[in-house]
Amino acid sequence: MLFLIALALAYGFAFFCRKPLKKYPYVFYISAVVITAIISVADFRNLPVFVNAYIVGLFSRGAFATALWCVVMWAGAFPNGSKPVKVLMPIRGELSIFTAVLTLGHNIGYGKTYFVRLFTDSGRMTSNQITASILTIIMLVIMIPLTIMSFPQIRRKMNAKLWKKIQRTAYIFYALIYIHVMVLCVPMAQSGREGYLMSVMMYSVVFISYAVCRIRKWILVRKKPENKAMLNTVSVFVALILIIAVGIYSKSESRPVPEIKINNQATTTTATSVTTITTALKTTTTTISADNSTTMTLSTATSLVTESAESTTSVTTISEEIILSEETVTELIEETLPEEIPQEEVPTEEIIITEPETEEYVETEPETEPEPVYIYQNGTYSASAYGYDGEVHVSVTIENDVIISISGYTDESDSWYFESAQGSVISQILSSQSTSVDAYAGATYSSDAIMSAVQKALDSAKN
Amino acid sequence: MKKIKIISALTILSVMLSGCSEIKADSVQSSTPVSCDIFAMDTYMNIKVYGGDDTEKVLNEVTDRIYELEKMWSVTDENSEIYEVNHSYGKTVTVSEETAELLEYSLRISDITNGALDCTIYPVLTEWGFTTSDYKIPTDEKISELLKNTGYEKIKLDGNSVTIPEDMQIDLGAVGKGYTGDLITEILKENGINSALLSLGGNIQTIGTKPDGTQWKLGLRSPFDEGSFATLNVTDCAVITSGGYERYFIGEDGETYWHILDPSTGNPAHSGLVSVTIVGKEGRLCDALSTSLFVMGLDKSEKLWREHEDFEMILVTDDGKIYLTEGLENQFTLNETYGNLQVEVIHR
Repeated sequence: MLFLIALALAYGFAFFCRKPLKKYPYVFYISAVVITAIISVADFRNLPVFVNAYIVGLFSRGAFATALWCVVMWAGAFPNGSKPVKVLMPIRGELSIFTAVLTLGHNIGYGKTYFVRLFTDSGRMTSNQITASILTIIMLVIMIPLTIMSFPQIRRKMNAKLWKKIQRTAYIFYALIYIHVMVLCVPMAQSGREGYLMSVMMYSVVFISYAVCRIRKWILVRKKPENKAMLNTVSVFVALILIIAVGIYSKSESRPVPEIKINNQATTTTATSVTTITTALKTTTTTISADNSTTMTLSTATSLVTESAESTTSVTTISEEIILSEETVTELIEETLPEEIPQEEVPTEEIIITEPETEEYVETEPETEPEPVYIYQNGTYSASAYGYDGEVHVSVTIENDVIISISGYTDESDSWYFESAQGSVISQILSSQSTSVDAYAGATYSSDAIMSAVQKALDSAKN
Repeated sequence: MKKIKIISALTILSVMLSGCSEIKADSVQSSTPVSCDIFAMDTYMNIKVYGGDDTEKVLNEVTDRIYELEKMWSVTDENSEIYEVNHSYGKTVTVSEETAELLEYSLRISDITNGALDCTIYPVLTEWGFTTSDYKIPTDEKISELLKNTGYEKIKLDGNSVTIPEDMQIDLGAVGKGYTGDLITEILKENGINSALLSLGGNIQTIGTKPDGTQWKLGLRSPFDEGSFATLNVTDCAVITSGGYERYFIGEDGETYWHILDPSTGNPAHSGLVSVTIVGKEGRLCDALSTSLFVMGLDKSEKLWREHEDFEMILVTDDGKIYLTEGLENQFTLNETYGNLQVEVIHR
């Protein structure tokens, strides 16, 4: 969707601004620098989601820049002498420079998180993210020299043939853009995430048909074939085959998302604490894309407090229902941004059942059932914390100091696909109550947005 | 088709049976666990006790003891003994038995690790922001300046009398939890408890085995992601892990800075290790060594292990290799999903 809008804007821009762009290119270059600076630095938290996703996103996510690159690249694929060529070729150089500057905005915006992470903590990135990042570096290596060469002052000084030769590396650049986008979108599409199959198809149509058209043009010019009709038919055929192949590959398998219910009601019981659940949450963020309101509900019943007495048996029923149904698509992200590592002070409060007034302990007396002292008020509490580029909201329901459900959703415009995200959340919660491990050695990771949000929610619930 | 049906039927049957037997085994257990949760020493603690009499009373005693120790050793509590020592302006302070013992122990470990553990590094830790969450990268000059006032060898401990230089500040946090674990374990054992599992902020101490006689199964947290990379079966011992991943920040330069500092440089320790797990009878030793060996690195840790008989270790290096000492070989199982990690056993 974003790409479609971007394409329309890009072509519109090229057509309507071609005269001023030719005459006063530096006005445009400087505007691009300003936009790039804003995108790299500014904080878009307070803007409405729509603005973030469709306006800021055009620049930060590189959609407008990519669309402009498509205009630039397609300019070379249209037949010589045709209207598009007549309109676009004269401004191709200026468009390239303008687009390159805008591209940098996308690079810096994402780079400050992902390049940094690539070099410092790549273990936390998925292989797709790492691939995409490396592709970006290669693209920058190609783009920057080509952009410098596009300035008339430089171009004039260069040997024309050499200039042309070097500019051919732009083909690699275009190919890498396509691969970069595919590496990020195809897995999402395969997992059934809404909107991504459409994106994959759109980019594929634009890039694959470009490749076919450009090669066709090259054949026409160089090889001068007799049978043009044959060439045209083959071209159309090849393009369609490739596009359909991509579509088939990217389609998600229509497997029903399993409903996972775990019910541990063993006769012996183990107690698990809120913190174990919340530490599981510490490393996950529930994210939902801006254009579908899906939620993930984790219902866990854990008791903070266990009581024991001679006469009564310890009761801690652990039941988890982690329901992932067709309507709910869940992605879970672990994100820890530099400004998001709050060290949550754990309240130094005792959560233990004690007899309210203990005078002398008389051994022969049967223990009376202690009165529970609850830390948290019953009810549902909501809070939010800032995630990647939007708020992450959680809702925690507490009953008798037991978290009986936690649900969340996000305002973020983007979320990385996290392959085993679902598995990791489930296994975190499961294993904290599972019979396979009695305890974990080692502390957990620093909090991230959802943990802050849960903590805030719990704080507001305190008595 | 028939074959498939038979196989699936058998599979389902065996799964069902194993499920049943699990529950059966559980219901045979003679006692039900009693547990309590305590928030203290800046972390969350959980104690699970199996069997025993008057467990509630014992747990109350344990809880009180933990709070008592926290009050004595807290660096930030104005009424604590450590606070008094840190604000003594060079004068001698008299401390309680427990504090003296803890300090003495810390100094002893500092000796055998040649300063890899140093309780006097606290001001440098604060400058980095690890104690306040107000992270920053101090200048080299500032670190040098603060390092002048560190050095465990400058502490004078004579019985219960502690004297430290005026600008020095000590923090026994690196050993405190382990020590607490030992004291708690003692209380539980004195009260006839012979099966218990303590988790003090991730520091594990176990008493005996599980009621059914089987070993405790512990998941070891992975330093690379949120899963656990291995399982360790233990009986009656402490298992304590230290890792840079526990508390860190990413600086403006994109580098990762964690809270385990090298006392000789005042900077985060980069010895090549990302996680150190120590297994031993004493929590205090395991706690102290987990931090020290992280600073010391693989080779020096191996050397230290050869010189001692009272601990085993599992080290994870930043290139994803796992080293474990031979005493743990039969108790350690790598989790399937981490099957690609290389494991090497260090033999005596």
